[in-house]
Amino acid sequence: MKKTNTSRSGMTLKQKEALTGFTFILLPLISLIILMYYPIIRSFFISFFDWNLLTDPTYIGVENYKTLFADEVFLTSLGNTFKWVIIYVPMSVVTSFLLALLLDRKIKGAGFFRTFYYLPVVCPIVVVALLWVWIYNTDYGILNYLLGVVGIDPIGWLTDEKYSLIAIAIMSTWKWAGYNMLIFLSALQGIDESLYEAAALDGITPWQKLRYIKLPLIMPSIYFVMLTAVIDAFQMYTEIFIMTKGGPGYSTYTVSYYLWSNAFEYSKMGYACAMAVILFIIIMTITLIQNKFLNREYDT
Amino acid sequence: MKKKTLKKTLAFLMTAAMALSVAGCGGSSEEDSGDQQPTKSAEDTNWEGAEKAAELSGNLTYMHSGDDYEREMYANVFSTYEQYAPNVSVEQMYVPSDYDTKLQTLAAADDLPDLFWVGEAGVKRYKDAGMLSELDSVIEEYPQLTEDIIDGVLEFGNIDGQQAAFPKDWTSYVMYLNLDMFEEAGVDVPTNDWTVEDYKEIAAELTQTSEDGSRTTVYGTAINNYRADWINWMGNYGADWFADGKSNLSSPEALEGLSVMYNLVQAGSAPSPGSVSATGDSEDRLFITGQVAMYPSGRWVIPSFRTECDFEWDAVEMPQGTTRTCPFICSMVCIAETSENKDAAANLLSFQMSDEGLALVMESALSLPVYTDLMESETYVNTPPSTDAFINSASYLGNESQIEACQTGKWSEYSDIITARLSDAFEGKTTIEEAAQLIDEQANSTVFTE
Repeated sequence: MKKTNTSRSGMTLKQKEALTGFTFILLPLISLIILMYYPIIRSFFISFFDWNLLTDPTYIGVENYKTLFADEVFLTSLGNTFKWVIIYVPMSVVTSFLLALLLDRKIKGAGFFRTFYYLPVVCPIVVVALLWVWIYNTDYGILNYLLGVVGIDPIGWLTDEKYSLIAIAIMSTWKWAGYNMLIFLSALQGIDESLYEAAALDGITPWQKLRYIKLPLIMPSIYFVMLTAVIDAFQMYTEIFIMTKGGPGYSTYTVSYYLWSNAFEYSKMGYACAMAVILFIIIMTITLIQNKFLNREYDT
Repeated sequence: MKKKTLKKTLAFLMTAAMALSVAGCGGSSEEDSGDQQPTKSAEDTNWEGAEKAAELSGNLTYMHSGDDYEREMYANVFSTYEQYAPNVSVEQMYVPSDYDTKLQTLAAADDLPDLFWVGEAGVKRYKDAGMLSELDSVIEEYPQLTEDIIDGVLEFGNIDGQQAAFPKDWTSYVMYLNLDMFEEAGVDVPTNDWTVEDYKEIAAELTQTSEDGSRTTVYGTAINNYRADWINWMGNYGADWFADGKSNLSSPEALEGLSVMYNLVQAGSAPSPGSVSATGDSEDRLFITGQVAMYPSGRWVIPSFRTECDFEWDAVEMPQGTTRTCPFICSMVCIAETSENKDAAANLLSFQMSDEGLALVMESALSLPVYTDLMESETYVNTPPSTDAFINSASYLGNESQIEACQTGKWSEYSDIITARLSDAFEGKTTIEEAAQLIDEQANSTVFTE
């Protein structure tokens, strides 16, 4: 007969370890369920109701979803959100990567530059947005002043719908590039020096070094940064709220901004939840696609 | 030994703390026992509710928005009220920002304060949800509430024939003038009988550009892409811009009114609202900093103008079109249906609206009293600027279209559509006719569908 190691409480060591582990994760798990999963499920449920928060919700089936796809403002917001992702994500990831490459060298004052580029990340977004609003000022902003020096006419960065999303993307890149730079930098510095030494013996060029050593080895970080940047970009709200309030016209309305307006300004909670569900599905689908193509060969 | 001493000391401290807290409880229970005497009585005031106030007891919560100055003003109102009603304790719930969301959240949680403010366009939603106590009986009990009240102001809180909210004040809408700029430009200062044509001409005359003509250094005037401006300009041409439950901004009269704003921007006499907000600034700041010579706004700008304008300034009535309308911008006071102390809540409302209560609020010049007799008094409508414009505008306050649109309960959504489409027009993306057409189409197909 096989004997098992049991304590006085009648539990095996393995069971005791499991219990300890579960005890440690219990609090965060409960928080996650209450604060994250319950609202997600509840949002999905509410999306089938007409609810203005003040009266009892009325079940209306898929009416909110039908209205959504006929709503011109929602479709414009959705279009703007995709435009935003297409503009912002490459701009942000490439800038962060280039900064990381520049700082991944043995240069004097590397610590200073790291801090310097990371500084905008720790600045409050409200402060940064207001600062850039002034930089973008059509009449008195420094950007138009500099353009004027080289003979370019003033641009309505935040008032002309051709430029407003790009202008906000530049600001967001400036604000967040330092964060992703740090992730890239730590990945670059984690590459074994012996690989560079061996490659140097083979007479590798800097471009080959980047293409065949650095890029493949930091691919998990690129995957992570791309993933989080896309998710963040789809949820963009604060910058719009502070800088343009969705204007001019509807040119900077994003799904998150329109969702907020419906939920808390128009009291159309069911409709807003339907938007949240659509946004969730879009983000989930794109994440799965990214996962399939970017994370194929690299295990994070 | 040492351990024993420590234990003894701890036990002593705990006993002392308990004794003190019990004593503290005793003190407060005495305070709450409901037999305190008022320090102010009916003899000190003409407020009709003073005698009843002395008999009332209990706790009230009062939620309001505003800036820090208003917080202090209302703290003063409540503490003065407590002198008449010493057994009533008023808890001030001051919400400096995002007020509507917080109120909505409290309503959804069935935890509304006893008294609270709602904007003139928000009353309908709360009334329809059965959350507002009717005020007809309050008005009956306190007749002073409606004595000498300005015509039309009660209508904004009257839903389906029942008074659901009471207008605590109003703001008027007038044109502020930088008199120094008029003098420098040698332009005559307009009087209250000026017309829209005069306004356009003066705005053009006061507009200044840089030496090379590349940019405007001073604008003759400014416009706001805001409900008060739309309502004023459309109303000045007698427009029924909202009728039979539908948006009607493309009617000829409404278009004529909106064109005043549009043409000023097109002529370069006013900056487009988008270009101002893109600076992170606002039109009233442009007036304060001397970049705008004439600025239409409500009375709420006066405290900052008084402290910040380093030039001579005054106010005149808005220029006349074919007629005149003054938009009604106000927070209404409501009593929650769930309030457990409606008697005291009504009494406090009555005090707030009394001569004494209003005097504590109106000194700041943030708003105007809703009573015609008080409008004539310097205590309630003080200078600068001249009071004529404000007093005169009371005679054409309110607008049928505004009342009807507000009482749909969908004003926020409608207002956002107007803002977005007019913004396109002001930025030159569409004409004003196209914008008005789009507003009507979008609003009538998505918001006012019934």
